[in-house]
Amino acid sequence: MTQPPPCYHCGEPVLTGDRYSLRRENETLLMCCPACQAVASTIIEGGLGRYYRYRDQPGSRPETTTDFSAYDQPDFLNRILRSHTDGSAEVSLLIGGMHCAACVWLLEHQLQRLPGVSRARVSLDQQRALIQFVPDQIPLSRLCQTIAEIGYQPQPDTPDNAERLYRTEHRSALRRLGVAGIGMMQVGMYALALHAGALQGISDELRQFLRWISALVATPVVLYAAQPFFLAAWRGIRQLRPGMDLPVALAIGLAYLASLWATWQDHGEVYFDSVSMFTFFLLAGRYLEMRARHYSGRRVSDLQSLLPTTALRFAGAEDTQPNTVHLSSLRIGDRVLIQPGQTVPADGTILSGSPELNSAILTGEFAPRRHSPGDPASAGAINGDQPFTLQVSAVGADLRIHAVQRLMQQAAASRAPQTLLADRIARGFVMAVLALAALVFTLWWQWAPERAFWVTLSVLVVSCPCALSLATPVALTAATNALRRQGLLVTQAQVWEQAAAVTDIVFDKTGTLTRGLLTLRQCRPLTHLTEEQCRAIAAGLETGSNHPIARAFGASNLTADGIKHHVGSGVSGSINGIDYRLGRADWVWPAVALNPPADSGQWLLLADPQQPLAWFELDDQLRPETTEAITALRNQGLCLHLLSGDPSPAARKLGESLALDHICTGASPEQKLAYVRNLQQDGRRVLMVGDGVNDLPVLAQADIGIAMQEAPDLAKTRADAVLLAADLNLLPQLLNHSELCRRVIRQNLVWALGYNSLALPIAAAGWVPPWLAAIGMSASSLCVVLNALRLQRDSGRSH
Amino acid sequence: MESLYILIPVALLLIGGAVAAFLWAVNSDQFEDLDTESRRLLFEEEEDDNDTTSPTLQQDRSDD
Repeated sequence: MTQPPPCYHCGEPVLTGDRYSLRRENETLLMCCPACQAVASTIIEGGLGRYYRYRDQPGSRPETTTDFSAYDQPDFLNRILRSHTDGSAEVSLLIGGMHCAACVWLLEHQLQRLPGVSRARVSLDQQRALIQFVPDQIPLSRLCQTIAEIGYQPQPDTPDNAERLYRTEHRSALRRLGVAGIGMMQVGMYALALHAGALQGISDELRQFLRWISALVATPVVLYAAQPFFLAAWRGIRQLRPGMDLPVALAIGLAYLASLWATWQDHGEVYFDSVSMFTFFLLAGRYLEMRARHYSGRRVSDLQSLLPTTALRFAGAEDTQPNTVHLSSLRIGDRVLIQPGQTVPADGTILSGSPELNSAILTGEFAPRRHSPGDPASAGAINGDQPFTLQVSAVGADLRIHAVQRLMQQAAASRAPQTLLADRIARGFVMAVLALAALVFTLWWQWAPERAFWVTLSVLVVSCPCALSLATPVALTAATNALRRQGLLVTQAQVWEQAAAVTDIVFDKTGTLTRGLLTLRQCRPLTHLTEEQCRAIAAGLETGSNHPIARAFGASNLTADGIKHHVGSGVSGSINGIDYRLGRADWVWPAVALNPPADSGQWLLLADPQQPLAWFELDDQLRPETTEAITALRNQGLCLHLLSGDPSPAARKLGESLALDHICTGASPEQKLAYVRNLQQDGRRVLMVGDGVNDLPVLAQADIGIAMQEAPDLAKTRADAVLLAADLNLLPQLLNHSELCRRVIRQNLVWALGYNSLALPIAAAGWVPPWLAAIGMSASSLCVVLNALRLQRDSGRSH
Repeated sequence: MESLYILIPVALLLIGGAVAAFLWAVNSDQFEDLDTESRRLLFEEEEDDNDTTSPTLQQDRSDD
């Protein structure tokens, strides 16, 4: 069986032969759909074909173009443009769909050659473009149109997003890191002189001078750069849950204070160099973690795209015709009209109409609920069958949906990797070191009191929470980075610990094992109507739905009224006065049990009240790598399950053809949840892979929930990992890599603790001068980091 | 060794300047998006050889 060729633009398999193609020089380039073809031709005929050579990943499938004319309204422009007196203006746009430097290059070139644009700077990290242009020469809508034509999705950059937080956090972390780094190097030089002096002799004045200078330089390092550790340690104490930060803060603080005392008294040892190095290494480790966290945060929780860009607003109290305005023009008290199928643009109270709203975005509840006038409605909910009017009560940053996003971000940030094995070790470690230090102090006090304090201090410094503190985060970050480069974005660090214990993998069918792109394979009319007429009726019923089934039917010039979606059964509506039903045979025509023409394939029935009209066969292809991935997972000794909402025999046949261990079809979301719970009650650890809003509760219930890239944003935000690349082979790789990661973490912890156990008695005996402490600390930290870096190389197959 | 009593304070002043410059660079967003900038060099090199169609770029070339 030959593989279909990949689309030149987005890499998906081309199933339509050469229907969408371009000629360039002597070769024909094949694309998978009209959107890819349009984007590729814009790029190549615009002279920017080099983009395809520069990029290192295929592009994303471009979405259908939207109308940007609402962006040209003056009151909206006033808000988002920064205008200058000479007529030029700047605008910041969020750009979706960028993933490599070549995209940046493409966007900048395409924008800069537009007349009226003087400068376009695109940032891949922040996923935004800063454009300087003359609004009189070129409207904002034309800029957005240009961006969409080459395959990206522009949105105005409004203040209520997480980006500001990321930028502030990043800058503050960098400032601290820089101060710590420069301070460390300076103090290191002075310390070298002091250590040499300790061995070879140094004049007292010079030694005091150097000590004072070291104290001076180390002070900003401790008071400014090391602040996060003290704050976190204090929080840990207050919550009675000390973490890894407590031993770190203790070591830095006590060593610094004791060294100041020694300098003041001109007596004893100083440890400014160790303190500065601690601070720098640990800040560096945290900085890398933060970068990884920001990366996943930016790509996964893009709630901006969940809200519509425009809304229908009534201008006055008596107005009956609404006009289209941009979302950010809405104010509290405005009346807006929401049509069937549209997303609610703001929080508010329902004034008229009894719509059925799907609030899955906010509540995770997949079944739509009927609301009445007077009920509240939240932004992000999707309207079902009835239009209704809403009185706006909250806009912008006050929306419930943003509060939900902030909660999720807080939850994610507070569930930092430190709440794992390393933290449990840290608590024991703190107790042990403090007890040991007290013991050492009392012993020395009996024997030689003048040395007691300094020996105890060297014990504290040498016990080096540095390596211990780095042991886990560096490994987790390295593993996350390695897999992220291959296309699996791990957003919850505990995935690495739990993946190694997984016993069962549960797969959703449509969109997970299969590509989720249903195509209409054939139509069998049962009456005098032609195939095309039946298809047009079905397409009319499915207009406006984003379900994969709907897209298979294509476009239609028939408009249907009263469209109602019945979850799990089908869709009903009336066209030209006749009621139709399309969906599962037993629901469409319940009177008589009708069997589809064949046993394989997914069959839908179309009927009007008098008679069944036609059978449609929909075909969903397996992903090309599914069989290989399933085999690999089975070889790892896992029990594989298919858990699908599709009740057709085709689903069961698919499961059997993949030789999965357990197959469950026609499951409702509640049944899916119960299935996974039962497995867990049997003591099994479940990894669930899914792609729809219906999978949300199950993804949360499973020990590890992985969302496909095509899943709605809510599923991706709540999942533990997102499969960015459409490659199920990343699943066995995740499991292999997590086993390696666990081993590396254990090695690191063993090494760090082992080093401490070895160094402590030596320090307790009073044989560790400051220079040896500093060397020991740096060397052990280096070992831990180098060991963790192995995880970035050993990631198996590379793309 | 007495020279150190002068040299080290001078060095500290320089360090102060370096830290100030670093903080300024961070605050003016110069450390954002380091990945694109490193690749940008590779893109710009090839531009003059291959491109023949765009009038804008031809205009650039005629400037130097």
